[in-house]
This record gives sequence, C-alpha cells and structure tokens, in this order.
Amino acid sequence: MMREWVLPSLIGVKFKSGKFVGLGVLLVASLVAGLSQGAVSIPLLGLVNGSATELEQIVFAEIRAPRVFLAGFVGASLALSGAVLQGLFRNPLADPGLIGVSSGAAVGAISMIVLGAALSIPDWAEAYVMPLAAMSGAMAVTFLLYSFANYFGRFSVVTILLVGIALNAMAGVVIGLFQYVSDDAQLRTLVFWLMGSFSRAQWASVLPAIGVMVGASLVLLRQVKNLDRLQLGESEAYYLGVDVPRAKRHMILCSAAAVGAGVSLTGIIGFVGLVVPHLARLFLGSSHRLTLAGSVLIGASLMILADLLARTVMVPEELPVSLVTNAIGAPFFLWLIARAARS
Amino acid sequence: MSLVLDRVSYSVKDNILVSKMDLQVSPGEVLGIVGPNGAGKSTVLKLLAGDLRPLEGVVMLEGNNIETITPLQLSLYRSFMTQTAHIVFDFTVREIVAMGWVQNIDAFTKSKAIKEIIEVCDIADLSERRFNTLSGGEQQRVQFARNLLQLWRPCASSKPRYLLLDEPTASMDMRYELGLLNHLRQTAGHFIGVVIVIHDLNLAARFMDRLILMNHGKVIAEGAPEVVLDPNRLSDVYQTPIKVERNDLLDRLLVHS
Repeated sequence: MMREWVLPSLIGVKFKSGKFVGLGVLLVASLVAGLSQGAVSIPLLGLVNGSATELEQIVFAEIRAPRVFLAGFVGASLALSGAVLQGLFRNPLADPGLIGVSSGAAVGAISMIVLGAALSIPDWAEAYVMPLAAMSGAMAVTFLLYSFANYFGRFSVVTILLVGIALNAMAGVVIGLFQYVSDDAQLRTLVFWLMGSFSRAQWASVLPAIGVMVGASLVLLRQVKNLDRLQLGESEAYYLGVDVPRAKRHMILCSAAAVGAGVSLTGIIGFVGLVVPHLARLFLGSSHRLTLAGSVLIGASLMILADLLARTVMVPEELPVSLVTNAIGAPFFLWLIARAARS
Repeated sequence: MSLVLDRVSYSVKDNILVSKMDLQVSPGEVLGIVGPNGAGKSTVLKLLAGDLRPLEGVVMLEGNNIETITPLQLSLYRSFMTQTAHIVFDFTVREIVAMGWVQNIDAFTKSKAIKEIIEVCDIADLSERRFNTLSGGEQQRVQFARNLLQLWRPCASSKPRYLLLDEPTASMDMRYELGLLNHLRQTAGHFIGVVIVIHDLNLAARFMDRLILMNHGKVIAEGAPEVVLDPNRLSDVYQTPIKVERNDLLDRLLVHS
C-alpha cells in the first residue's frame, strides 16, 4: 500500500525536476549566447585558454559581462516580484507596474535626468545618483502605498490595488511635467530611459543593485507556503497559521526593493513581471514553490535573450529593450487570454 | 479544557452583531448553533477562531486569552471551515487538501496523512482534478478534508483541538451531508470540540450533543436539542409557525412547519 503511494509521487517529483533541468539548460544557453554574441562576438573558449585578444577581454569584462548579468538579475527580479504580487493580490493581472513601484522609480530617475545638471555632483558619485534617485522613488511609492492602505482600513487587497492605480496616475503627472520642461537632449535620454535599456551597465553600480535584488528575492522565495495559503482567502490563511499583515509587509517591501533596484539602472521594462509568472504556471503548475522558482529561471533567461535581440537586430544601433519585451509579451498575453476564454 | 466566549460583544458601527455572549465548548462534544439569518452565528464562529477581536469580554482557549496566541500556534489548535471562496489560480484537489498541513513533521508522515484523509473523506476520485472545475458540493467536501488534515495527528493525541464549521453542507446532496455529519461525530471522538452553524433543525436535533439558539446577537436558549427546540420558542424566533414532535419509530425529533 505504501509503494502505491510513494511511487506516483516520486514520478511526479522526477517529472517536475526534469522540467527544472530543462529551464536550467535554457538559462545556461541564454548566458552563453548573451555573453558571446553582440556587436563584437567574443569566443568564450578563447577567454579561458588565453587566445582572446586584449580588446575582446576588455569588451567582455567591462561591457558584456556586467550587462548580461544585470539583464539576468533584473529579469529574475521582475518575474519573481510579479509572481509574488499576483499571488498576494490573487489577481493574475498584478505586476510591479500596476501598484506604482515602477512609476515611482521612473519619477526618481527622470527628476535626476532633468534637474541633475543644476546640481553639482562630483564625478565619482555620478554612477550612483540615478540609481539612488530611482530607488528612493520606488521606496517612496511603496511607503505611500503602505500608509494609504493602512489609513483607509484593513490593508485589503482591493485598497492596495486602487491606491496603486491612483499613485500611478500621480506619477504620470510628474513624469509628464518633467517631459514638458526638459530640453531636447534631456528629452531623448528620458524617453530612452522610459523604454528601458541595459546599455549603462557598469560593475560599480551593477554589483550593489544585484546585492539588493538577491537579498530581496531570498525573502520573497521564503513566502511560498504563505502564498499558497493566501489563495484560500486572507482569513483562511490566518486560520492556517499565516501572520497575514507581516507576510504582506514582507512581500510588498521586498518586491519594491527588488524591482526598484533593477529599474533604477535599466529604466522601465514592461510585460516581464506580468507574463513570465503565467508561463511558469502553465509549464510547472500553480503551487508557488514551483511558480516562483520557475519565474526566476524563465525571467532571467528571457531577459538575457531579449537584451541580446535588442542589441543585435540593427547593429551598431540598439533598440530599447522594452520594445522587444512588449513586442513578444503583448501577443503572448493575447494568446493567454484566448486560451483562458476557450477553456 | 475548553474554548470559551466570556461576556463577549462585537459590533460594526452602531450595528450590534453579538451582545454579551457566553459560550463554552469542550473537546469531544458537537455543539450546534442555530438561528435565523442575521442572528450573529457566523460572527460567533469568527470570534471563536480569533479572527475578530471582541469589543468587550474575552475569548479564552485553554485558559489563555486568544489574542495572546500567535497565528501559528493557534493553527495547531483550531481549524475553521468557512463558506467556500473562489480560488483564482488552478490548483489540484490534492494541492488544496495539502494546504491544511500546518505541523512541522517529516514529509513522509505528511503524505501518509494526506492519503489517509483523502480516503476517509471519499475524495480519492477527485484528487487529481482541478479544484475550480468541481461543483459547489464537491468543493465543500475538499475543504472539509483540508480542515480535517489541519487537525490530524500521527497518533492518538490528548491535546485538545477545535473544529469550527460555517454551514459546511450548504451545497451538498443528502448522501454527503449525512456522511459529513456522521464524520463530525467520529471527529469529536478524537478529543476534538466541534462547533457548527447549521440551518437544518432536523439534522441539528439528530446529530448535535448540544444546541445554542441565537437571535439578534443573543443566546435565546441553550442545552440538549429536546430542550432548545421548543415549538413556541422556535415559532417566535423564526417568526413562522413551527411544529416539533417526537417520532417514536425513528426515535428522533421532527421539526416542520
């Protein structure tokens, strides 16, 4: 009788772990492709056995590697935050953009683009000013979201979503104002930033951001059981032992930190936080242990590939990466809707 | 050893839902709460579960104020089957049942417990199906299984536990309704105190050890079913003529209008 029970569950585990091996292979393949391909193609083997030229080495170490790793971590963070927020809000449409975190970061960064020239910023600090401003923006929105939601009552999911929509609109006003008063050069930087790009990646700013993203993601990954139980309803989660306010706090603050740290360096990148969790659910199932792990792997791989596409379709020019993610994400999302409508 | 409401009141704005209520339930007994719509029955369950904080009075679990117990600790002592809510994402029935696992014991024991509960609750044929594709009655059977798993223990446990149920059979057909109520009687035998809100007075008379009749947030009568189900009192509370008679052939009370 025991064997009957153990066997199918073991097969189940193997089946899922097979899929995870597949996703691992996908990630490694994207890394290899991302690191080796580009305006200058770099022989990765040559780097190891020393036959690569000095130029190739410099391009790899100073330009290619920070960029590809940033793309991977940002993709993973956006997807993970999206999966967590969808689970928390029990809403398949939730994503970091929806609750205003991305717009908050945008306000911070854009204010630096437009007003930064007027401030006298020492050279050594220049790499950190934009990221810090964007992080502050993301944190400010999260703080506002949090205090409004508390003020309006029981910190309910509906309240948070509605407050998020309002904050988004307010951020839109500020961004619009900055666009209106900026000069031509600023406007160009600003528009490029709003469409997202990994081209500004330098180790000095990438490493601290990766630190924040990894730290926040580890906290988020610990929420899998709580997320599963929240699917039954907030009261039911409480009956099952979840400290609901505390869990919400962790989820919202950490997804804001993860997204804010990423967006601060790259600008706004659409659809990854929305679509990747759906892909993970489709492929692996709704249990958050699987959805969250899958989102990390798929998010990182897809972002690396999207960035690769963005910088190779029209060399030496570069497309904003959001154009690529939106171009792939939007039709895929339509397909998801059609699929849901059919079933 | 008991779960107690001690002079508990609860209101939302000026609307008094529960007023200075006393209630006690002990492990091993099945207590039914009956009364018309809006009498405050569900509020009483939420107060017992620790979800609502009383504005006056205190809720005590095993002699401790329930507000001082952490959610995690509390989850080991009581489970609460609410009226089924909608679940957004696609989970299998087995996954839903497994969410009821709150103990920190090895995975082998966990899978043994889940298998046992799925068999006992007669939902093996549903276990790989998507929860969202089930009928209302089937979903209630699955939620009941999840609640039983929450209170499941590896061996005969002398730790008191409490199972709260809010109209658990509302969408079930007669077979499963009787099955669940019979199951509750067995559950109580495992040192579990059961509190159930139920509308069907015939079933209440047949399966409950004790009844509480509520109206307007107050206890109107409390005691054995034969005592509480007085035709004049029921007619008054439900504002419709109700008759109660003893059927000697079936050896039980029959309530009808």
